[in-house]
Amino acid sequence: MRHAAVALILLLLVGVLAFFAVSPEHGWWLPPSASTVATEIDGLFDAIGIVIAVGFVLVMVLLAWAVWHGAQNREGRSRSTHGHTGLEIAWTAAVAAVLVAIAFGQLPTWAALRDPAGKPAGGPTAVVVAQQWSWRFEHAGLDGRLGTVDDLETAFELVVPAGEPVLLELRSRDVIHSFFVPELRLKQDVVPGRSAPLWFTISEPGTFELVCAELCGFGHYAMAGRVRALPRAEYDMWLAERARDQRSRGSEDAR
Amino acid sequence: MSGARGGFWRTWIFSVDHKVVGIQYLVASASMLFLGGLLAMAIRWQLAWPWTEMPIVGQLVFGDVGRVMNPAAYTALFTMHGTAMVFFAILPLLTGAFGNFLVPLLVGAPDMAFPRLNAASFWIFLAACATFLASAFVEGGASNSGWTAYPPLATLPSAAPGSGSGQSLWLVAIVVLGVSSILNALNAVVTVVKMRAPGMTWMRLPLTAWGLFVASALQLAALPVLTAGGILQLCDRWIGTGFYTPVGLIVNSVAPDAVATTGGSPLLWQHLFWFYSHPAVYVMVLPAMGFVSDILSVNARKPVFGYKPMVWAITSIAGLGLIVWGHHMFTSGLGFEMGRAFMLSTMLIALPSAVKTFNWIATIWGGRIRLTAAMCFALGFVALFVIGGLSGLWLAATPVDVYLHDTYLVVAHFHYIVFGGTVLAIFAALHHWIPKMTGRALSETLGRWHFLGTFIALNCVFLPMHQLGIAGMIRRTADPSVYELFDRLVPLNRFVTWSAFALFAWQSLFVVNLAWSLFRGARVGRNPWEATTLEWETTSPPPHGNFDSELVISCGPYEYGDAAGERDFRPQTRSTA
Amino acid sequence: MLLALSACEFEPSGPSRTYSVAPETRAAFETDAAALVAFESALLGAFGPPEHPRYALVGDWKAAGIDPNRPDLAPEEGGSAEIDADELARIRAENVREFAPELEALARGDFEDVTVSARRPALRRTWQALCEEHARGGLDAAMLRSRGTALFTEWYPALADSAELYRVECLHCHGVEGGGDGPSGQFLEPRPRDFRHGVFKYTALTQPARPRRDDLLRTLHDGLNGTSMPSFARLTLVERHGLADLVRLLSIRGEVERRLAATFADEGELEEDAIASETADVFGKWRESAEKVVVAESDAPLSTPELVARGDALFHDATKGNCASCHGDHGAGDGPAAWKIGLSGVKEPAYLDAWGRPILPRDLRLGIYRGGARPIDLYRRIWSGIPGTPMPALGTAKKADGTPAVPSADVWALVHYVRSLDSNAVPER
Repeated sequence: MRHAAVALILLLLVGVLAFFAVSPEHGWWLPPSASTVATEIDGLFDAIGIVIAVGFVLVMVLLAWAVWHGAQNREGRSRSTHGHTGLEIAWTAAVAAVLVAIAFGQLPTWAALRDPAGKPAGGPTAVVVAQQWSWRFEHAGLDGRLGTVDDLETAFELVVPAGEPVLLELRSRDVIHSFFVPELRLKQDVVPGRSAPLWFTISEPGTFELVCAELCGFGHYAMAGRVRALPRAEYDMWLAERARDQRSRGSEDAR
Repeated sequence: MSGARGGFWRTWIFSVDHKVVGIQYLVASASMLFLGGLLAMAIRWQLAWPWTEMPIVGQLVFGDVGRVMNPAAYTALFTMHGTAMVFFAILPLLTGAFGNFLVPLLVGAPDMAFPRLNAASFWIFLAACATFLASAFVEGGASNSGWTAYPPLATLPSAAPGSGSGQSLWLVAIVVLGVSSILNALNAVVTVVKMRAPGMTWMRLPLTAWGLFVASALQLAALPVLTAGGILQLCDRWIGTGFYTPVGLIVNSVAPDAVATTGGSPLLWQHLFWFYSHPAVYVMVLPAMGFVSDILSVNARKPVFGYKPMVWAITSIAGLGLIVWGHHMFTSGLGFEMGRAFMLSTMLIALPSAVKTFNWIATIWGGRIRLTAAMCFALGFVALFVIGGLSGLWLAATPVDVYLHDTYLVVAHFHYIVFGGTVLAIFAALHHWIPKMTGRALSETLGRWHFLGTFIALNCVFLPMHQLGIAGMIRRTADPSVYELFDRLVPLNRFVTWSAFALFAWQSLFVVNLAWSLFRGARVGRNPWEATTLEWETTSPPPHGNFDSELVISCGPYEYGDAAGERDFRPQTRSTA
Repeated sequence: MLLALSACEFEPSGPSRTYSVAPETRAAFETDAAALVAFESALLGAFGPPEHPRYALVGDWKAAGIDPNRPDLAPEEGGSAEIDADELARIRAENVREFAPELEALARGDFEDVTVSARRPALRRTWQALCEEHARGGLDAAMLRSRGTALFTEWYPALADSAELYRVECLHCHGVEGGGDGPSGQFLEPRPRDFRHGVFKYTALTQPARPRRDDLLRTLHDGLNGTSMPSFARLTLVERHGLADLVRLLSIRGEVERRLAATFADEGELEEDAIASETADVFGKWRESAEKVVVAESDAPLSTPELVARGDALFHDATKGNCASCHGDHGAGDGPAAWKIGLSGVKEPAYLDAWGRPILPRDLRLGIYRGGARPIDLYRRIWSGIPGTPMPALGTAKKADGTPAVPSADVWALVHYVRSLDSNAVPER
């Protein structure tokens, strides 16, 4: 029986480690990251992952060892040990130290994400309007200011400049949604009645999927969007093209 | 149950004997557990093969709407699954079933402090169950705003089909359940404080009693907040108050002035909800930890290592548990400083759990381990609770939580703790205490096979969910294939679904075991496990009034091993029988 | 064992579904159940079942050997040539991206690695047929590679593919027949569109007109702001084309059914070729739309205070725009004409839309424009009105002397005034 029990514990140990080891190559892992803060977040993730792995292996090995030695129908009785203060202090202190290290280690990244002091100056690049079940965006337009007549409205796709700080203002029309761009490691709940700022810098031009990450009704699963980051020059061109489109008299439709 | 007055109805149905009430809770919440499991099977089908026809269920449930799940039905599905499991299955199994059955026995009392209130709390619980189930049959269907019921989705009938009477009934069920649970918790707390047998000091209480006691105290502290919050939500829905509804909404084309709003805040609900629902998860784990401590000790024939640190760990988990609720709201717009504060408290709460884990290992270290079914489940708890706790480290780190919040990593985390942890502990407790409840043994062989299959299938179901979450797959999605990012996850989702079917089916082994035991199980004496705690001093099942002899507590609950005396264990009471 | 199970290709099927007739049709055929059965089966013959929709009879096209089921192909190839070359090039480019894994597998010769999702049943069947032919020796590897490459690169969804996509994405709101009565749609406000009336609110056309392909594509791409119709820009361009084709088929089928039901109710019988001729008639109306695009006389002027003031005057002038009578003095949608006192003495909407539901004028202060927010989009709403609703077509209204009541320049003024009403109403914290 003890063979089976220990084998099971070891199977768990090996199984978990093996599964996690092969996951990245199958794409069952963090998607490639594309924002400046993402590298910090991924670093934290990996560091904590190591702590988790070490903790896991330690506990499983100890458990297997204890079961192996204990479950062999030994003669006699166990020692009636009620505890050991030194041991308690030791493992409490060790775990506490690790936890404190993680706690303090992540503070800079949290500040980078949310410290209001880090918010880019100037107005938002775009307002994100979440509604059941679409993302709509009001870009600030060529003048760079929102609330002016050259604001551009798009559905589904947010276009921003790459390589420079972007400030978004998130608003919801109806219920709580959440603006989640996995490849940028960004998430901010969009709560109706308040507007939430979100700032980030995208490292490289590209397109990234936008996912709604807060249950917002039955269309929640399909509330998809896209963030497209263009180099500044191309971004300005895109703005100019859209500005021209705003002047259209509709003749391009009469093909 | 000998000695009870009255006929069948008084003895078995409306009995105020805590043991009967406990078994009533056991049957009711186990049924809800089964229902929750069925709902989970439907969820898993949809996630593996979206929009295909489910066998049997497709025709039965969706027959007149094309025989296939539709998105609104899916949201109701996971809402009912979560609610049934958390509120109507796990919590009542722990505090209602085991709490009621065990607490008086463990402290040496003849019954709970308020036996009639106790019975009443069960019947109120049943009323809450009935209301909850009824919500699935009203127009618009069941609540579909998740078990978290965030406004405005939950409060505005125009926001979701099930936000009509379905949501109202859900809220009523939660409020009624709150009343039942508060009464139950009150009973447990007063019993432990006031009715311990002579000599049963606080530091001689078995850890099961501690776990149940502290969990009940936590319920008393936190549940009223949820109940109040739920009543506020009902007010929003029924009498047009705007506690949770901000101004300026346009929901489903209803223009702003049409919605009665007075500038409330959806975040208020989140605070009120999580102020209870986070401690609730500790209510769901502390009794389980207590069971595990006792069962490990009994089956390793060795005292629990570090009794006092264990008690401190239980109380500090509860205390800290009251100040971590904001970690559910890191992305809600809590703000920078609040985020830091909650991160700190959340990190700290990992400490007592780690301490307990090391103490469990130290308990069995050097012991004489009997691998009974109960012991297997208890060891399984330790292993899988650790996995669940460790994934919590990722979630406690706020920047990482920003990415992982509302993904399947959270689902993996809490299922490892509640299923891999609490449910395994419940099975351990069932194996350990059913012989006391019924006077008959369960089959050890069947129990161990049940454990083996459950353990393996459990990991097959919930381990890949870590990967799903790390890859960004969001929760509560009816069809992950909408996003290209999740294309690679299809094989994982299918594997999880097959494993889930296997896991669910495998539970029949326990049902068979129980049924066989009830009719054919070997009769057990007072103390089949050779355990020290008070419940093993009386008959199996115990009589009305519990103990047939005077109790004088003379030592702690874990006197096993070479210092115990004539046998390798010394019962807590020197009974005069 | 679990691993083996998940690796195997267990694919439960989507359910079969059948068209039901509209309540009005059922009422019309009340007296003659046998005729209803015959009618339903004739409709099935003309348009196919829900999983395999197709046009069987479209009058002169059938005679000319042109197949309206293939809008992507040129007439010489038997198609109806409804998609221009530039668009086809864009479709090809997207197909190359979308099917990159399959095309790579083909290039390598790893034919087993080429899998087609069950969501594209017709494409899947075609590919499987090619593979089977190859297996039988009818096609060598090089031919399979080239035919397969062409298949994926030039893929245009068959109506069966679009029907499956419709089932997954659209049916739960729009219903099997496109009647706007799907299980999810029933509580939504506004209701999902009932295609069977042939009335679509947001097009670029003078009315009455059926929508152009581009109108449907725009709605699919952008969604309808302020309604539950989401953006489907996450689908590929060609998938949206396929859905537009299917919506047209459902609309035509529905319209033919309604018209013939009305005819049967009046005359008690239907002619032999009633469905064919009615289909040809309705289809013809769809084909005319390309000529009805509303083009303004000038580019959109930039907004100026003078222009906005002119628009303000027109908005409130009962002889010109007369907008305030419905939209209210401040554009809040609460104008006197919009409401009436009902039988019970309670204030209720004065108008019903074409689908029989109460309708109120838009609250213009919200800045939510369902048909698009560009000035030209608003221009078109004002010029052509909104079909199916009481919003009138100001552009075609004429004064007694035959000149336009609201000339193009004035429409631009109204556009800019309306845009100035947008109060950006979502409040800050």
